[in-house]
Amino acid sequence: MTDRPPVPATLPPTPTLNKVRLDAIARDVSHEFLNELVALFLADVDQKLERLSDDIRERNLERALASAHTLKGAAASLGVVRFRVVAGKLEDFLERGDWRASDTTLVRLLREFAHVRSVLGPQDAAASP
Amino acid sequence: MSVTQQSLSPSNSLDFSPTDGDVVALVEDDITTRRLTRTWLEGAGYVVIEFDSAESVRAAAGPLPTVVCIDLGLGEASGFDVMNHLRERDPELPTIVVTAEREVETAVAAMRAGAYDYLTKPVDRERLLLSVRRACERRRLVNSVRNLQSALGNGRLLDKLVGTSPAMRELSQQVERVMESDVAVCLLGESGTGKELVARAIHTGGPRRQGPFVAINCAAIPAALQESELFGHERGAFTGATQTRLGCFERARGGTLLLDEVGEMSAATQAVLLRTLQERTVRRVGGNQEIPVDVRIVCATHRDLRGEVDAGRFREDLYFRLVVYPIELPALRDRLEDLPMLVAHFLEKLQSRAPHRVRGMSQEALEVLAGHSWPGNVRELENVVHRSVLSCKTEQIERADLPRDLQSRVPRVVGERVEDPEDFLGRGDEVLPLRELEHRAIKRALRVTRGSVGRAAKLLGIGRATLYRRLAELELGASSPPGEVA
Repeated sequence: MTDRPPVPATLPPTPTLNKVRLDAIARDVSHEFLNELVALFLADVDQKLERLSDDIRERNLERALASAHTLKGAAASLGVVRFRVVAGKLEDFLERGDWRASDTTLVRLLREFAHVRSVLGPQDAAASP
Repeated sequence: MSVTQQSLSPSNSLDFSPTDGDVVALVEDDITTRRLTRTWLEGAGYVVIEFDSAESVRAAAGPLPTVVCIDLGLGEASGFDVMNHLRERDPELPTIVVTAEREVETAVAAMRAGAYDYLTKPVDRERLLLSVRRACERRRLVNSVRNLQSALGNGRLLDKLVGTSPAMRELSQQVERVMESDVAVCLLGESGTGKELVARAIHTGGPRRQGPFVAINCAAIPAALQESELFGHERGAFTGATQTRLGCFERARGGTLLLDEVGEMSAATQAVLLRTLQERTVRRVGGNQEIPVDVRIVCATHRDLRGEVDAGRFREDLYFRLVVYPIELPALRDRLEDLPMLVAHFLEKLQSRAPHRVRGMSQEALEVLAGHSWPGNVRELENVVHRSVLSCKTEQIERADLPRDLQSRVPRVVGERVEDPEDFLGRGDEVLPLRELEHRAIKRALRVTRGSVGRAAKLLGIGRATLYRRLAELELGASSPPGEVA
């Protein structure tokens, strides 16, 4: 009988960023480009979150779904992992028409974005912890 | 760090601009993904054009890119719609579908809808570049095959425009000039000059060759039915409309529509046609939906359309839409030097239907044909050759084998230009001295009788001696060969 690796009691927490992805972007293009991309991401997500909050408050399902989906894609492209996961969950709740869970997840998403901004915002993305 | 967000609305006049390199169109609503993907592709040497919505793609004009990368989740629209829109323009356009979804069903649906490849977000740079490179290679391969097919197709069609006369050489050049563009061509010419053949050559030689070629003869359709034929009708639109029927415009989508004898179109149909050309949409009779149609229009007429406009029978605004590049097809009587080649062409064509092999036509028979005015043009000539083949008992068609009504024609040397009666009498209001007219009449008589003074005198209704005297006065030599006399 072969020894199987022990199953961890709890799954490791999802990291804020996929450092491998960010490093690869900096390596393939440049650090300057990565910084530019991060700034673009932060500004764009900021606007989109505002619109998403409005859509959810107005219970506009179609627009809210589209915004959540785009946010998920943007985060995936840059390697902003946990934000992507939360945006994906919000999309799931919206698809199910669960507005109460959507409201809660939106608050989580806004909080996560504040965290992402604090990590990525003022400093060099590739050099951030 | 300041960030300037690009606005990519349709009004930004984006188009699939042609370049020397491979062009990748990026259809993605998220600006971060778009900027990253663009930078990767440009770093690999591609020319990238960006679209941020389904609407901006639909509004784009011009040639298609080499490859398209489409995000399936385009805001509230679906990337599938964009894909279908582009594939309507060219079913062979390679599309790489990119999406945040990981569901197998989405991938299968995309591939079934004709996607070349499927990538999931976050897209890996190496995977993207490999997919785009392969898609470009495929595109080049498809284009080479098309070019070869087109060259073969053109060869066959241009071959059918038989003749080496200056008029036919000019016609071939004009056809080649308009093939590649969508410019509105109007074919002007008498009945039987080959207008449909030229329209087909334009279609087959152009970028729409993969699409359908649909021809409608407006003169053959009663005015009441023209709208239904052109634009289709919905079920129940009128008595007898038991089912929805597509009109010529919808059937010609992505291809070419020939509006033959457009001068015979009713005033009501002209109005609807004008609106269709302006809006690039059709509305079926009895329907209320605007259906987009992408069709190249070629029209043809034997009438003087400008004259019809002046007479108030044809709308001027429609005239300017349809007649951007007029091409005049020469009448057969204006290119009689092509007669031997045309006869040989028809003999070859009729070979399989002939009771026995007919190899050619005697010079005398050809000269008789050259003496005819050919109001039915090349179509009439084909019928004459066919009838002659059936009468002919030997390998060569003689004068006696020609249709009886033609046998009595005064022969004319093949290849000689037929003078316009207007020219003979002088141009426009020009009045020529009688002496000059007499000079011309004698020259013509000598030409058609190949220098026979006796026969020329008979044709002119004067005595032989009188003709000799006139010849001396006019310093014309009776024995001159016809070529010199003319």
